[in-house]
Amino acid sequence: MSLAIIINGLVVGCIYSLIALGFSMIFKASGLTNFAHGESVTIGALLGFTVLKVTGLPFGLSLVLVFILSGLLGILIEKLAYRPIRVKNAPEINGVISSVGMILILANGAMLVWGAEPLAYPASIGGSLFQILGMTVSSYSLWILAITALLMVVLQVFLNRTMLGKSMRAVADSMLLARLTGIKVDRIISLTFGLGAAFGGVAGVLFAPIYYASFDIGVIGLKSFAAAILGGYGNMAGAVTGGLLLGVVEAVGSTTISSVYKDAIAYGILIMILLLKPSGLFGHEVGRRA
Amino acid sequence: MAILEAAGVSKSFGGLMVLRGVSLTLHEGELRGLIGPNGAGKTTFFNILTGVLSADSGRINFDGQDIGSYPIHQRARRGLIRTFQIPQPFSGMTVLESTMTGTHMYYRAEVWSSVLRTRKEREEEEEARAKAKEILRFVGLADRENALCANLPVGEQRLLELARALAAQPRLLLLDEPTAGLRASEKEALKEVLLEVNKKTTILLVEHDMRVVMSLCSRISVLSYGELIAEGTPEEIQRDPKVIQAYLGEGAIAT
Amino acid sequence: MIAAVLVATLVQSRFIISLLNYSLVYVILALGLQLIVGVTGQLSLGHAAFYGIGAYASAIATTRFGMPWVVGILLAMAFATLGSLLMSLTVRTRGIYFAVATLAFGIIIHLVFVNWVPVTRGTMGILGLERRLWGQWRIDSPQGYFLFLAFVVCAVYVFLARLTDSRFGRALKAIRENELAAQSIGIDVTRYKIKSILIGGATAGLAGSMMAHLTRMVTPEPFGWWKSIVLLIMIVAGGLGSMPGAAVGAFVLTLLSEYFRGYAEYSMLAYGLIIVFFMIYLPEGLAGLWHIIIQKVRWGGRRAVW
Repeated sequence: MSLAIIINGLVVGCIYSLIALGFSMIFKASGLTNFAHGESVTIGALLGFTVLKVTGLPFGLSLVLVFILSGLLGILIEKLAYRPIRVKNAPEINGVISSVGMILILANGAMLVWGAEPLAYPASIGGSLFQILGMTVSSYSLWILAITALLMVVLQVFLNRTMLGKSMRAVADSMLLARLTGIKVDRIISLTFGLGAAFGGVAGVLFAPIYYASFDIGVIGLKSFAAAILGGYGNMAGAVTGGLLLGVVEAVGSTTISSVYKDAIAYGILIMILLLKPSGLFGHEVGRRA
Repeated sequence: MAILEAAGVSKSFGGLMVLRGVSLTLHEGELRGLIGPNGAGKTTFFNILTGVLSADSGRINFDGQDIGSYPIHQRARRGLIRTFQIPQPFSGMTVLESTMTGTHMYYRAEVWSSVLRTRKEREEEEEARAKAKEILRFVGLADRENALCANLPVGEQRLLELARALAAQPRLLLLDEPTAGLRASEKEALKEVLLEVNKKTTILLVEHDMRVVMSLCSRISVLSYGELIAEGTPEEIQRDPKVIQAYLGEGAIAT
Repeated sequence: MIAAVLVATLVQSRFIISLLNYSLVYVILALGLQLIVGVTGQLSLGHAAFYGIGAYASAIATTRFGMPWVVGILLAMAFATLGSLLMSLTVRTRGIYFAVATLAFGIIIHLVFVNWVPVTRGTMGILGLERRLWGQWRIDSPQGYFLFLAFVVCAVYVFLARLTDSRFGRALKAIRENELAAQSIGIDVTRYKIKSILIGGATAGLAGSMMAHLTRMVTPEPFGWWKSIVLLIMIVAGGLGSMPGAAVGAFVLTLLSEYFRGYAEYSMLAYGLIIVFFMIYLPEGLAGLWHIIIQKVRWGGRRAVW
């Protein structure tokens, strides 16, 4: 097993981590598992394609633009599809079903806008290949690692240092207490959806150059959900660790066991975790709000 | 004869000891009160008896059998039935349907007999329905048979809980604050019902309303900070300095 | 059933009959899923897997081994039941975790359909299925097929409606409403969940066989995870927990989507809009709407006499 496989796994793992963060964030804040979260990746990847093509902005700036656009879309979707259900105090399952419907709306909406064919990002983004320690690595892989790390740091600072971030953590800890202390809970939840979708969108833009952009790549969301649970659902650091771990396990598994069933391996791991260790590998966060 | 023997039951959450070696023996036919200030561990004790939580240590014998490792439904099958402090209704069912569900253990119809509507199945359904109606009459919900459980007011929710539990024909009935949130007149009515139930069934009653406990129970056990600090008749308990201290320490007065 | 005979004799249009046939297969699927999701409250997102298992079992039995279709149907149900037994390992997971586990399960099974080429012939599919029921007895006309399907649908409907309205059904509903309370009155929650999943899975297997011999071919395409979601939408629109609702929801939505086939790109989008709409404005589905209307007209509830 070569180190290159592990590096590859880490790179894909970064993508999983970014998406898993969104899952955990949204769950922590609102108690909803947003099945449609994977679609923010789809929309992000496709938006990125258009932004790059139409505006000709450099990759980094496009990333920022998609971050903002996806975030706005996330806020909008929360307002339209989830809030009306949440405020009614409907059973948990109703919100989940609504989010399942949202998958169809977003994925098929994307297909109508961008077509069904896979779209390839400009090849120049893929970066050049170079040798490190006797391995061939693309510079783009390093970019993914760097950007992910940067986003994590920014998120940490945001959550711990800014008023808004602190409010988000307060809502996640206890919706009731947050409301009592005068925090506008609905607004914070809506912002959390936005932030989650923004991370998803960025993940999409980062993912597209090593894969492609298409209306049906949202399935990656399910694997990322596996990552979120692996690390302990609702736990931010766990989501990141879970993502990286899943990326590596999947990369190793697909070269040593079967590449055709690469996805099946990831989903099999997901089922195993749900069955054996639903609280995640580190097991301090319980996947259910009090 | 002892129907329930809990011996040295302990439980801690995180580092917090909620129960410290609680031992309690109930005799057949008793109506025992279990009281204690808030946070004394009464509900935790119930949860351990019924299998919702497992004890860290200690033994629970029910009817001479060690049930400590049994899942909830198997304890229920032996006749250990409870109600909940916060009512847990089958919201989407009607009152009658919910009470019929309480009779579940006493019938056998499974997939095929239900689908074929065998004679036995129809007889069972008739019987279950009749029993449920009788129980609803008994607790005073006869006129709410067709109401949705979710739509009942708090007082009737409590009665509904009791009806479902009675339908399961308990040998030992564990009641977790059955009068909480009831009006005085409702409490009086419920007391009558409980006395009647007690003629056939052993009852362990957790209750905050001292008047209810003192007038209903023949014996009372007192939990404080996870320890059983006293046990005796209502008069003995009222005089017990440890009990008075436990309650006064909390700022409450036992009347 | 009488209505079905009338329809079969009166309607000559092949298009309409085949439209109805499609719809009836979906009715079977939705009824089975309703038992698991609507009645037992377990959000299964893997139903299409058993539909597929049934279709492949029946197709392989009849084409490769030359068995009559009746045997194909039985095998379809048997294998689908086995598949659901495997999935029912996940009943230990709760709520949303169950939904995710079943979704993942469905995706894995679909991957097997696509990639296990020696058995399923992969994306090539299995073609040329016959409708030889037994011996020389065949159902070749669309009208005949329609009658047969209508009979099967009625049987499944009566089976599940009666099952729901019984001691067994009450236990399932109790689990849906409150697991802890259900356990506290002696209901073995795990066992009933598994039974519900097995029965639902078996009916999906039956539907698989019906669809396979209706289209006379089996490819992996219709058995993906999105099909599970479409089925979920049907029962949500019909009304969670209601068997008539599931039947009507599946029938109407399939008719609509088949009728508007020319706009297939929009159908999934429409499905999504429907489900979100229902969850926000009409969470009890068409059945809930029906109840409101009925209650305006008359009072009281009786046990349905089936």
